[in-house]
Amino acid sequence: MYKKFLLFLTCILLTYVCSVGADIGDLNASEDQDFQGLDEDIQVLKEEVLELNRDLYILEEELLYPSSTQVAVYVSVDVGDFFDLDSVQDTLNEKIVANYLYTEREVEALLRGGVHQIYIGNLPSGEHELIAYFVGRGPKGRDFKRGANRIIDKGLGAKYLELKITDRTPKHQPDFIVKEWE
Amino acid sequence: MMVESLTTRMHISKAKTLLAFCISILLLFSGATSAKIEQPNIIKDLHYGEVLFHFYQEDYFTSIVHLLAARQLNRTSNHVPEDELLLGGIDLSYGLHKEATRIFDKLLQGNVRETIKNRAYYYLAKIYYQRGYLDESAGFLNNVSGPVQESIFGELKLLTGQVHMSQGKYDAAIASLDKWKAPKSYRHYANYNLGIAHTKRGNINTGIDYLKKVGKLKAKTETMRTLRDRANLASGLTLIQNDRPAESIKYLEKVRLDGLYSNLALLGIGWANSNANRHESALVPLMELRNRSPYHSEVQEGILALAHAYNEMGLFGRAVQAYEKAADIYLKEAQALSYSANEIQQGALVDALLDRTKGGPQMGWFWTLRDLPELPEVKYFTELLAEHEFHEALKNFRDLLFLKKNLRHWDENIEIYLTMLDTRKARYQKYLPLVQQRLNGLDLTKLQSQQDALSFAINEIENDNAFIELATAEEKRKLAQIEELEQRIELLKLQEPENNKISQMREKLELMRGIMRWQIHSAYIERKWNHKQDISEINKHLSITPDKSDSIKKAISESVEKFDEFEARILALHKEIKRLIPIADRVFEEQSRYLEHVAVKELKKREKILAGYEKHARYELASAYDAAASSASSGAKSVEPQEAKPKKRGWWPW
Repeated sequence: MYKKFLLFLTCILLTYVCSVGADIGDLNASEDQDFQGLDEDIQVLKEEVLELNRDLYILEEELLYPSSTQVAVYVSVDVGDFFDLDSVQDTLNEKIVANYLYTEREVEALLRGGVHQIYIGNLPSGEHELIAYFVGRGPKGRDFKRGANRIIDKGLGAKYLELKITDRTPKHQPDFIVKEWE
Repeated sequence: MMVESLTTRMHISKAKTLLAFCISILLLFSGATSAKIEQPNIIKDLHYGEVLFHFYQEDYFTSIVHLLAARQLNRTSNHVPEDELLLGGIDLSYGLHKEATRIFDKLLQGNVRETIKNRAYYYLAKIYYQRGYLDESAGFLNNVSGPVQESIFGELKLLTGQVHMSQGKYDAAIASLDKWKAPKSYRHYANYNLGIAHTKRGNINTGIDYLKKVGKLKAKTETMRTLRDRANLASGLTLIQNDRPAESIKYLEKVRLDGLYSNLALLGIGWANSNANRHESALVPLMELRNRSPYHSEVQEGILALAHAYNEMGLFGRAVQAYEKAADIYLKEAQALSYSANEIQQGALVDALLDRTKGGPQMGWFWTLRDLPELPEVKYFTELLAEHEFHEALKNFRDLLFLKKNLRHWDENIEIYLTMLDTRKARYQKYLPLVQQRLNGLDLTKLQSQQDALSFAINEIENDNAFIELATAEEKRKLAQIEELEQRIELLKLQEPENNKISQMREKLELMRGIMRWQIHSAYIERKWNHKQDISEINKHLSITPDKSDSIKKAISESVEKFDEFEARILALHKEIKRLIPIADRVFEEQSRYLEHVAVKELKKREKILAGYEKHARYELASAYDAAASSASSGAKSVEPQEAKPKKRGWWPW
């Protein structure tokens, strides 16, 4: 009886599912045609909006931060075994210009080789002082705060600065470097 | 037979979700494992690293925009051609299959390193696999030769196995994975795939051995816990399928009760026990399953299985009740599905989704599908999410919603740039005369000769050791005062040569002069150094003054042109925004209808299955009544005969 039922159930399931599939397939052949080309339209639209945003991004940067005065500060993490980053604060000429608290997701992106633009602004040519404070957890999970500074000479072109967190393996300590890029 | 039913059901389920499974397992691999195995990139251009920062957070839109801009501004020149490969990879993640394929094809035709080509082949294989073109995907994988970047090696191996398995080439899948010493983060996935491939090939025990390894793993993350559940579930179901139900139970019992696969595992335990004629043991999991949400198909099937177990145990009264309950639930759920489908057709799904994604333009992008709560307006919403077609349609819906918000945002805000430009123009007009006046008055030759004279003077002072020349004005005034006093004392001395006081005063003045000169001499070296520094500073400024002056002159001459150019760009972009808005609206509307169409299609499909269940439950109910009646009349075992008394129903034939 039971086996009979199972055979029956199997047949029922198969019959119904198969028949549903056939019905739905027949039913939707015409309906699905209505949506043919939609995927194409979506891809084209995505590409056009991306290109538009690219142009707007460039326009915004050229308008707000012309290359003659542009200064951008980036944060990167190399290895990161001895330091878990929580936040970074930047001061330029004793004025706080950026204060950033990192999420777990962002820290993971940094550890995988991503570089975060923490600040972009304008500075006249000449000498300026950048001080960066790094807050997080150091070796053995202890609270850790460290600063790094650099006098930068801003020329006529854009100035890029990288705040680099690296591991000093021999000393089992993190290291914080300010690197200038042209 | 029972196993057949279960496996049939599993096959049906698998058939429906095959593509979803393939995609999700791939995503699972790429997401969960690459984070651990991929070596940090060596960044040679900061802007390239900045793109990676967004890409690794799955913010594909921002990463593509920034990468396109960086490439246009030649800011990724040290990452050519990796930047193009990256663009293709992000395009792929963002659903731009065509553009990604075009990029990879182009890369493969160019003269690029083998590792780049291999990566392009890998991405192409992935695209074709995801779209169901298995032979083409396998072809691309065959083209991979030579060195492969470490970051994709593991994913490439897994994809190869996956493609072979999808083609039914289990031996090839086993061959590709068997001798691979997979790194820790890939090992479990490799073992899982090997387990499945072996069981499909008929090597049940070997397959179970591989699955057992995964089933025992000490998982620290939800992803790993889910994989462990899958492995135990696969072991259990394979054993049921191969008439070893008693053995299967220990695997199925390891599946978490609150995990993604708990319903299926409970149903499996129920079926396994029933198949082993342990109907009493089947009751526990099936009753637990009965208490769960009736939206899930496993729960719906479990209700029927429970009724059946009662029937087999001779508990006809309970069986009758259970069949009645099952038939009622199926009917009710079928009605609920019909209602839901109707609601969706009336726009409830789209309205509910829009309602939950209110906010700024970013809101369109950052809500993830797994974060969406159950929508009370749309029953079976979470069930629908498991369907690949619906999932993909919802992803496109989300992307289009973001694009719409993005365009509206720019439409409303681009005017700000025009205002900014106007302010800048006004400021320019205000300061231009002053700047021009200063520029006109700038005589570089004169300044240079003044600077030369200063340099000459300081050199003379140094050569002659004329430290007095560097005395301050105050010191010079005091020295002059001392001199004047000395002259007056000289006159007094002439008048009164014998006056000692005058002589003493003269001595005092000489002492004061000495002190003054000593002080000036002491400060001389520092003053000389400071003067030289100042001269050097002037020199520096003078040297860049011509360039600065030229740059200001150039800026003045170009400014008007530049203002006009900016204005033209802003207006052109605004025009483009205006052009795209109605297109985005139209495509979004179409996608909304498509989403509804897919949802309704799935719900209707489910409704038909439920109707089948109901029909069967009613049929079995009749048999149970029959059995109960026979059993009562023959005086055989009949527990709770009063319960077996059928209610009078319209459809009952006698």
